[in-house]
Amino acid sequence: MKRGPLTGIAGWFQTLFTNWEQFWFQPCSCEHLAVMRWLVGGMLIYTHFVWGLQLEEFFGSTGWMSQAALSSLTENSTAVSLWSYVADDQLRMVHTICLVILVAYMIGLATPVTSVLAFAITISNSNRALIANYGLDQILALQTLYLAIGGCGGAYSIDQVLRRLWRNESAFHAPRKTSRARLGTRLIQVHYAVIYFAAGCSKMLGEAWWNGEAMWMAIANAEYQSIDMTWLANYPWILEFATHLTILFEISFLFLVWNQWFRPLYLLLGIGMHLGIALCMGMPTFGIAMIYGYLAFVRPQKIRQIERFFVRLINPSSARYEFTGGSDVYKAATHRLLLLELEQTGKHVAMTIDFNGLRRLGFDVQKATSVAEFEAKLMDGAYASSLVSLELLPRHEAAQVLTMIERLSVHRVACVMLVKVSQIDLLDKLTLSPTVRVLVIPYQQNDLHEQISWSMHHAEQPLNHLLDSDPGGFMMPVPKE
Amino acid sequence: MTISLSKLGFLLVNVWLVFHLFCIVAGPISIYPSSELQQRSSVVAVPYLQLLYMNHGWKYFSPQPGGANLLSFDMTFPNGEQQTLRFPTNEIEPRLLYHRYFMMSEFLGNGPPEAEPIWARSFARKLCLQNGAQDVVVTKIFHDLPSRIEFLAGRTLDDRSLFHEDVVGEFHRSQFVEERL
Repeated sequence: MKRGPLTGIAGWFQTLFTNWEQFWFQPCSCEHLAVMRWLVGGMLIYTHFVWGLQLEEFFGSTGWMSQAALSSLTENSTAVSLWSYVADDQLRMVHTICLVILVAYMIGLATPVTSVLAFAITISNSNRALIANYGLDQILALQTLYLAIGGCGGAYSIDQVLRRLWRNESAFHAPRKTSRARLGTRLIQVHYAVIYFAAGCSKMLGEAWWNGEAMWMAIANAEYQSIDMTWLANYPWILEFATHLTILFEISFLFLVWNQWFRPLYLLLGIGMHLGIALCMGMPTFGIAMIYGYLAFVRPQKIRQIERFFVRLINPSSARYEFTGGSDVYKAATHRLLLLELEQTGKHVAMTIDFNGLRRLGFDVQKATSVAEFEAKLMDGAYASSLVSLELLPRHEAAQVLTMIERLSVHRVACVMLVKVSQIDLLDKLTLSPTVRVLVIPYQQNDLHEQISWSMHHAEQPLNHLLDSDPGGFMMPVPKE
Repeated sequence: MTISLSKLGFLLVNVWLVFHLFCIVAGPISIYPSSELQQRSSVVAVPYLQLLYMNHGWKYFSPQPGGANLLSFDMTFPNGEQQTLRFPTNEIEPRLLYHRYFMMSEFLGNGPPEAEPIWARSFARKLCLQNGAQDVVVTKIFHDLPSRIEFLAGRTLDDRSLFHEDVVGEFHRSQFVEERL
């Protein structure tokens, strides 16, 4: 059948819409936003505290900025500030209340509310002290708004602790992936790109950015200077190179930061530039706040990896095993496999499995967060079966769990293990009871797609039949006793 | 893909998102120098950006870095004592507070000329009503930069010839006392 032009246009729009939807709304986790909340929250507390050092001078009715003078700038403006409604004798009290709210925001207490209040406080301070602001205040307002949109309280927060206590859970769940987390992340990314592009374009009007003198002019400004870099006057090529690199970075950021190969380079260049501003040009708060925003360019999984690294570094014995990974495809595959293997009745204990997904499937699952906890729960005999996903663990820890499972086999504890192909050799040395099921998970995305199709096709059939029909497939029978 | 929003909500979020993106682009491009089209596009964007405190040009160090603006206040107190306050100075700590003062002096030096007397009066008013000054003379000081060649030839960053003073206004306490009441 011939495709008409309208079909082509419709297809183009469909593709456009799909890409738009994926770019802005594809659910993602919020660890990076949560770390940003701590950092930005800390900076908000500091800036608010510094306003408090001279509260009367900056926010009082007889301070540097009279309402009459402010009105000359904000006539017909929609800008609002809570300080416009606060009498002089209430300044300190309101300032203290705001400080408490900002602390609550930073630690992630009642974040849906405090994140919005933190933004309101930030812009209130800025609008009241309008002519004492600079890039720091602009960036903090931007970050606070987008963190509120992104739902930054989903991880590393008091809210998370309270949620765990409320649900009587033994350990933290990995944060839920949400569209709002993606939206908040993308807004920070895009706005940063717009900022750099605007900054770069406006610089191109200046002769000094073309003839290479701009960097000298920046470091020769004694009022900005915090580290004397004027010795660079003897090395004009360095100054000229830094001038041109700044323009190149700012103009091209918008286009190249999305590329996975260029992104690390651009983030490093940006960090270098902002650290230079922070250290040499007397604006440490601004430089650091700009760098905070770069967390929006870091994948949440990376943050989780760093968290694990530090947890293990501090206390190796308390290493927590969390289900962190996996695409939706991966989760669907594991769920399907477990459904095939397990009775849904009774209580189950699990480690490194997608608990929320299993609970939605009707399993009564208790979570273990360490090998020791896993073993203790198995030993008490109250669980119908155990589930563990070894393929998420480092090899030595996977071997540790397998040894434990082998030891417990004598107790006839039903156990389902997910392992990856490269871990199969670990099973060779073990003698496992028939109650232990080992499921080998293909690790490639394409394999998973095939696996889901296969698994769904055979879902009605009993497990033994599956094993008989495809003994050499992704499911392997346990080693013989 | 699963979107945890109703279709209507999702549509509204998208409409807002497109509008927001339009605004954050229209804001900086409408600032001088800009075309009439750019300025007109900001008519819708500016009120929204003002509300969110995002109405900025993001034009850091542009069109090019330049000298610094400082402010000096010569105060005479009722007992005849005279004091001079100047900012920014390195005595102002922490650095963030220093920068707050620096931005105020920069605004007076680089801001619109018509705003100059209004803000000079506001500063003088503060010194009369909070610090107890009787008379205040507000002077702005422009601290120019030496070129790299001049610097290498021995001209320092704080060479006296680089400072240019300009009296902005003289104020008396009586102008403000009534305002306080």
